[in-house]
Amino acid sequence: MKKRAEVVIIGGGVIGCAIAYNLAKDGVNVVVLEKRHLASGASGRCGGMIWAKWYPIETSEVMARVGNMTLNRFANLEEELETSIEYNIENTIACIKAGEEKECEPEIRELERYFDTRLEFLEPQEIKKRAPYIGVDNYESFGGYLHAGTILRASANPFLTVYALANTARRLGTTIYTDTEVTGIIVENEKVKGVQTSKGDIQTNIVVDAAGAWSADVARMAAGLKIPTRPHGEEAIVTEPLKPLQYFPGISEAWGRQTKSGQILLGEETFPEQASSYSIETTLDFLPRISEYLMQLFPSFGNINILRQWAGTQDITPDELPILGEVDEVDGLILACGFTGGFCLSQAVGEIITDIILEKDKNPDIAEALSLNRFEKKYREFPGRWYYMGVHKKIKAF
Amino acid sequence: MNSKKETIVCFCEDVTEDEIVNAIKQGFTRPVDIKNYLRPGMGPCQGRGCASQIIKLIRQVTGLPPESILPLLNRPPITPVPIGVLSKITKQEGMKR
Repeated sequence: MKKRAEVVIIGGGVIGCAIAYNLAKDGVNVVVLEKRHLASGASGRCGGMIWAKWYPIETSEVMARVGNMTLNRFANLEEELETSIEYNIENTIACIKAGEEKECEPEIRELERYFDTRLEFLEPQEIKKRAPYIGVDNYESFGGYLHAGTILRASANPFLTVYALANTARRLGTTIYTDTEVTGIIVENEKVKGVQTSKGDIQTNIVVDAAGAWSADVARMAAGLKIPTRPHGEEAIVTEPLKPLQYFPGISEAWGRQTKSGQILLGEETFPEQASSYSIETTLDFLPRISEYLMQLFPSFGNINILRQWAGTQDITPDELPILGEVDEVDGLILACGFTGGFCLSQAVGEIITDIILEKDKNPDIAEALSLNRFEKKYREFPGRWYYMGVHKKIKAF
Repeated sequence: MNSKKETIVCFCEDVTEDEIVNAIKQGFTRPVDIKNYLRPGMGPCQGRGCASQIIKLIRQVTGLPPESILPLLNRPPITPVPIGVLSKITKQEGMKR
């Protein structure tokens, strides 16, 4: 095992590998430490959706910039890495239920403004005509917004993305150790000096916490630093392959897409009361619940088989925005965690964290808006999601 | 030797022995890595046909003892079940629906 590295990244998921790749491109000597195998956490269990996420609070301008950055980088990633990640621009109809339209209208306008696009509105009759397999009648539908042909709704194969980033990083000199658990972070005089692992120690001055669901545990190793992230479960199913559907319907209860192989992927976050858990075990309740959604979405698909279900765990922060960048308490510790939808944001995060580490200072407003300092100290012990307290509005499915 | 190239290990996803051996040589030395990379075991039979073949190939290429190679996990439902059947499962005590 290497004895020294300029930067040690903890976590071999899409975030860790994207950061490693971006740093390696700038000639930095990087070591990535992964407890199990690459993409064994949330990255390998996610839906692979690359969507424009935006947040209707004061950070939306910043998040729109992060979103634009990640969408554009994903669109060029295959060319950049010279390998296929099954990147695909999706055609979807974001279905809106009758009664929800007033609430959605300003959000749609905001999305159009931030991403400089125009979404076509489809009446229920028009949805039926274009996609007769969608169960519009089951929804008392108000209609839907068509996302077609823009990078706002795209997807990629998460495994191939992680492997492509990791392999390119390796070619550029990065060392990746799998099956290597971090047991401690050496901090002297509030400065990071190294990392202790199950296979020996590595000296370094910069440690990146990209440990996903385990990010709070890793942060605590650095002189007991508390960060307000906690594990958050999701479950998903996949069906047998179907012919390509021209439009995939989007609903607010679940996320989904049709994969390149024709299989339908549909998933849902587990209920908040079950959320704080590292468990990646599937539950029996989920199968009938998601089948009901499927039957509502596609009433004629009753004979399609479900092949398998799985579960994963990511980390969530009280305001559902990631925590990026340096911390005041420990010099040399960089946080890149708190993602819900980290695959989506990964390419922007790789760039932002690289800028922070190399002190390029290209995006100071993003670094400030997403820093740990936005949480007052008393809130660092995870008070529950802010929107339950009426501070944060629930994010819609767009 | 050509016949070996075309030997299909996973019939559901059309993965050949040659592809798997290449992946193992590239460093994908666990069944789960190979499954994620090439998709054997992700089709309708869920690895019933190929899981042991993959372990055998890993053992042959890497020389690892078989007991150190973790097999693929089984994911529910054990066999494919139609959506229509699953959606009719009625609510039982303790279920969150």
